[in-house]
Amino acid sequence: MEQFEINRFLKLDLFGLDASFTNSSLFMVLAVVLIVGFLSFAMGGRALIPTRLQSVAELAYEFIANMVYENTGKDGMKYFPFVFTLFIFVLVLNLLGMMPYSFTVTSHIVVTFALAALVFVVVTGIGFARHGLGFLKLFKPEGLPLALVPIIVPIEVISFLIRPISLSVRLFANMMAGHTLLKVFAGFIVSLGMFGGIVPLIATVAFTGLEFLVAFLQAMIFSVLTCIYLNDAINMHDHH
Amino acid sequence: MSDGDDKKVPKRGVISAEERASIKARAGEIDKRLDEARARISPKSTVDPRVRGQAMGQGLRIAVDLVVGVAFGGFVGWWLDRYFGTAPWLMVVLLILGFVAGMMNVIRTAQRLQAEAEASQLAAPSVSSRPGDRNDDD
Repeated sequence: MEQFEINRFLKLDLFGLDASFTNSSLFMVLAVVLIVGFLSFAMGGRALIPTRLQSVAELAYEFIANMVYENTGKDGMKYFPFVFTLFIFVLVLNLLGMMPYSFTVTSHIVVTFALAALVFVVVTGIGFARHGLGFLKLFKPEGLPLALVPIIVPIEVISFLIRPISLSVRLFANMMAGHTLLKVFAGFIVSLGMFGGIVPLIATVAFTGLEFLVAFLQAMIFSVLTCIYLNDAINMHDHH
Repeated sequence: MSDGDDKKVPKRGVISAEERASIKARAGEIDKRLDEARARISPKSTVDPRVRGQAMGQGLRIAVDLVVGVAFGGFVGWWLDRYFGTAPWLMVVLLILGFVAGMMNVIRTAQRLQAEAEASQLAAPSVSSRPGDRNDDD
């Protein structure tokens, strides 16, 4: 479908890799500019009694700060900037995609997988940095009978390895499915004409509302799961 | 058309102050009764849309966990089989392991969600006073 097509604006070849500036890159840059612009503008006043924009920025901050604290505890607050950046980046990309004629960056699995792989690398890195080889105990639950080790350990390893895949597939599938659904229903409006088209029109309006909810929800789930994985790396399966 | 009738019936469109007050009181009473009746017929929905949205997100989260385990196991098994020439054994084994791993992720997610739900329920004063309600979740 046209809305998912990648267009190269600036052809660029980096050591045999296609690093062209595409519409996808454009929207990512746009998102970063919007985020930085909005946050610095909204927090510019630093008023004790916040203006409307400032309370939006503070709300976003508190939302993620609470999320990180609840899921990872005090030690995890060090990684708050990481989670907040991920959340706001994904959220703005999702919301930008809701604009007509725009491009939904997060509907491409390359992008979501890159983000998920980043989370995976960071989490694994933190785990080994904090616990050394003891981090491998994550794969061997406490009090596991020796006979079960050859079965449980591979399962635990696989369940650890599939995390970035499920993290990326979830975001990409939700965004792509939602936008495809909207397109299909909008197509019905035209083909059914003046009177029959009213039903799909209503459905399209309803789905558009739902898509806004999904855009927020998926950004939230992405960051919640990042927090949960961080908690595994920091506290090794301890819950708070 | 006698003159007496004109005196008893007030002019159309003109309402005296007492009449206005009594109409207002009656309207207020009707409003109250309507509200009561509405509450009887359909008690106010306790599910607010944000909660419903969260529930939807949780459902999708679990669904993907379930699928990805099998897909990953199958793919890695197929790839290793091609590499070692042991088709189809590694694929079979890894499919099963992948399925179990996916299941385990689902169970962990569900346990976490359950714990969160219980914690927030206990925190709500309206619920904690009725211990019988806790069984509804299981």
